[in-house]
Amino acid sequence: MREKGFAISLDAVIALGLAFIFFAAVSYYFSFPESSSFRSLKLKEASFDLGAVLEKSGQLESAVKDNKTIELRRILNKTPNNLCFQLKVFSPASSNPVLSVRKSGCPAKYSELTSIKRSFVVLENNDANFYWGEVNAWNRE
Amino acid sequence: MRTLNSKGQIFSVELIFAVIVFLLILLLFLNVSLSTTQKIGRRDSFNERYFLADNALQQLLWSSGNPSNWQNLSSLADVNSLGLAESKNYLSKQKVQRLVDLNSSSYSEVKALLGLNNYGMHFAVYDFDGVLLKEFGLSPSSESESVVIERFAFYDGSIVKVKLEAFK
Repeated sequence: MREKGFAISLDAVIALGLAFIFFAAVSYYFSFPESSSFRSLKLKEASFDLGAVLEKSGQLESAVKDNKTIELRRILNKTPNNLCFQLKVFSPASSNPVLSVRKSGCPAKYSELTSIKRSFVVLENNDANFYWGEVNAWNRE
Repeated sequence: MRTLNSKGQIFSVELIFAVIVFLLILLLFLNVSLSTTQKIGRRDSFNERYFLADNALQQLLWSSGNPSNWQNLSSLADVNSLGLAESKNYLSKQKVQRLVDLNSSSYSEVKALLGLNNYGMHFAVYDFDGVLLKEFGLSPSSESESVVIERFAFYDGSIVKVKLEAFK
């Protein structure tokens, strides 16, 4: 009778222990105010914004014309510290980027990467040529 | 011969011990449960603020408003929605200036048009070196629970940072 009762008590303790661990895990999870879905949203918005403003400010066109990435890097370096960006510019004639620049101090180490593409036109020798910029964004680790 | 009396005593000691253990575990359980409920509440509140602030800023950066010439109207009575964009991420100087001018007279109406009725808001445009160019709204107090959304835009010939803070 005593052994049987002990077995039942042990079962109950294990069950309550498991329930406690479950609630502790839930509590730990909710202790972080920002969910991963918001981090993903931030990355998408940041990469879209960067592509849009670089195109609308004429920086992408100037960089292709001058074949220089100094100004692009200056802009990337002034983005928020927790975000990393890499910008590549492609021409339809080649699969290799004609320009590539990465924010300083941002190694390509990430658990999540967001990528957007944005086309733009460069006027060269009275001719309009299509290019596209690819903005990759990730959180600094 | 076992007596009824001694059997009952053993049972009582075990019962008391079991009840104490049970109450301790129950207390822990209730404590964790209450703490989790509070954290879920805070998370819900944060999510709602984030969602509303993100939507409001998206509206300002991507839309020109309805009607699109709202900046020329004398009041916001006939304005259905606010937007600062000439095109996506390209801010109109006139619309930004009109929003700034509305700060003293129509703070609540602007908040309502952006879906932030239940929150305070602060909207600001900074250059890329962090110098404040334009602002609208109130600054939150140090005790406020706030969410800050930061985006990039093109304004007055430069790339700028645009921040919207929603707080309670």
